[in-house]
Amino acid sequence: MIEDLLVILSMTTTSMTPILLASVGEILTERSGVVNIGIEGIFILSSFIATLATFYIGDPYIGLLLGVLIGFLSGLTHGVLAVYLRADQIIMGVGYNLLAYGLAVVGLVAVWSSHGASPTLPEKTGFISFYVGKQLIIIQPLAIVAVGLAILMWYVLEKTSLGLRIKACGEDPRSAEANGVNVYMIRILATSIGGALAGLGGAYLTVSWIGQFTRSISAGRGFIALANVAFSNWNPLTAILGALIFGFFDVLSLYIPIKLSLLYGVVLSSQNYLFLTIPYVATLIVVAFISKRIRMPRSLGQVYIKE
Amino acid sequence: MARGIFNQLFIKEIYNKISYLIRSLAESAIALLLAFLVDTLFLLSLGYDLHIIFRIFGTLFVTGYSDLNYLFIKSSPYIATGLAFSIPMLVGIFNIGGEGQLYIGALTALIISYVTKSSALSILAGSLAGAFLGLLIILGRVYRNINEVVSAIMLNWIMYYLVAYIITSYIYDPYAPYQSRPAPSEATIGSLQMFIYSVSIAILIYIVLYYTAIGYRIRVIGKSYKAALYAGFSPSREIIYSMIIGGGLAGFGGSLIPLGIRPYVIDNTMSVLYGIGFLGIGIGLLGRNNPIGIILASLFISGLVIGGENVERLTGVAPEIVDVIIGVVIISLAMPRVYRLLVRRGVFQ
Repeated sequence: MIEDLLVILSMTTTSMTPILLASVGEILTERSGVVNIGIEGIFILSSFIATLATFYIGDPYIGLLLGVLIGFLSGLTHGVLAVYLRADQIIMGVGYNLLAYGLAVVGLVAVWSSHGASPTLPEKTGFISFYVGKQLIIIQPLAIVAVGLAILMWYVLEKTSLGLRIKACGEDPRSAEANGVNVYMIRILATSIGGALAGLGGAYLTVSWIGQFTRSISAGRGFIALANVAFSNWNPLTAILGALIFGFFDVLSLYIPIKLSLLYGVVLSSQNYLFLTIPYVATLIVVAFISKRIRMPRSLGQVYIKE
Repeated sequence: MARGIFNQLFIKEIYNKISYLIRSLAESAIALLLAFLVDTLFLLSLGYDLHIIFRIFGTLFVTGYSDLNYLFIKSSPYIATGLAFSIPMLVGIFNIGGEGQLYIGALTALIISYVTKSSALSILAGSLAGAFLGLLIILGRVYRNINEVVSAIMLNWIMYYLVAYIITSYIYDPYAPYQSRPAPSEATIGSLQMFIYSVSIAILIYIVLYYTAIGYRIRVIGKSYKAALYAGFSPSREIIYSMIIGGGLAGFGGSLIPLGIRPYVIDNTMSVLYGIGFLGIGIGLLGRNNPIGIILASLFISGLVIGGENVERLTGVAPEIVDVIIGVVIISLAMPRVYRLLVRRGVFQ
């Protein structure tokens, strides 16, 4: 029992990482007044590019780096189009998700001639492992980095004047501009950095965690990160707690069927589908409970026209 | 005198309609050109040469539209999911849950067809199931402030696995346990019948939108929420109606698939259903949230999708190349300002 708990906890630190990275990035983006629902697409595209790079350059860390770059460029594009061309941010995000999915799947078929998944990576990024009693515990270094980034983001947003400027852009861009803040610049930078963090999360999915690219690699995690942003009430520290909860249910959906089949020796087939709904049902319930109390940035998703 | 003014107004109206039509067509054309440009660059970067790329585009356009019967089959559910996105969009609600509403509609219609052996009752049940899901999403939004994008995506995934569970546990085909038993032959419908159903519903929606009081209220709320409040409308009621209709339409589209498309089954990976709800978003946007526009957009996109299936057979490029095209189209259509800038610079006219 204790061992089960330890295993689930250690797996949770692994599964919460992409959600936390993307949530922290999206909190920054949304605090500046831009909403980017293209996280799902960034996850898919950057995990594909990271896998590709790891195969052809042979270094998973370069894969991570390229994933960050893809996320950054996607965020930059989203920011520029949203700010200068006043695009509808939600529609653009939906289009981007479709585009990214198409690019990654066509790439998958072109490079590996497979419709489902890439081959398994020869090498993944390193991890920290130690024994607690007889149980091997694995912690991904990026899990620690993600928590550190969340704390750093909280510090920047709440304790520095830069953070005040970013939040002003999301609350009342007109007043921010009157006080000498370059709203366009802040929004574009925040969206780019937010995209880069989501890109890191996407690359992590393949080169640190799962070890191969599949067409359903993201499986709604980008939208779970969006739900986590609302859960956290746009506070990076609360987002750590949210990512733990969502990551926990993610693990549970995989762990329960494995454990049941070990305990009772039966291989569950169709019932597995029911367990797979756990993360989504949990997200829905959590969101239903907290949505009444949240307060989003006042100018979120609205076009700001400089006079 | 009065007659003269009337004539002037009438001419002005016609002029406005035509210039709107031209602008819409120009915007769509530019969006498509951009999409093909992005596609070409992407395929070049994957190492395909221009010769193959031209062959891909040729296949998309020539083979996609040559088999009318297949075009009717393909476009019928797309008309429904396009409308399922557009009706809520008119009142400012973003229905990204068409996918899940489609799944549950298809499953419900299939189960009811086993029992009743009637296509009409099955389609009705499928539509009601979709409408129920739409109602859930919008009640969450109106009464509990739940973001409809997040709840709709979560419901899409829940429906995906729920339908897979029900198919493989309760209604599986003993000879192929990964898929359901086929719909009984008494309940199946032909391709032309399917297309006529979808088009009639689109025309019905058009009449409701443009010639009835509720349609008028929906359009006013979409244009100006404040004006609607001032006129004494109750927007939250219209918003709830619009999502019931939207969900019902997606459920209707889903119910057409197991009843109208061979081999009349659903499998555990939703292979006949997957993506139809999402593409509905592109179709709704391309059709300018207008039911007649949506019929045309569905025919156009279905041709591309059919072409995509042939592209794979002929050149080995994945059919998702069509998703790349439609993704770019959606992104371009999210930016009406670009076209206005171009018009002001005198690129058009």
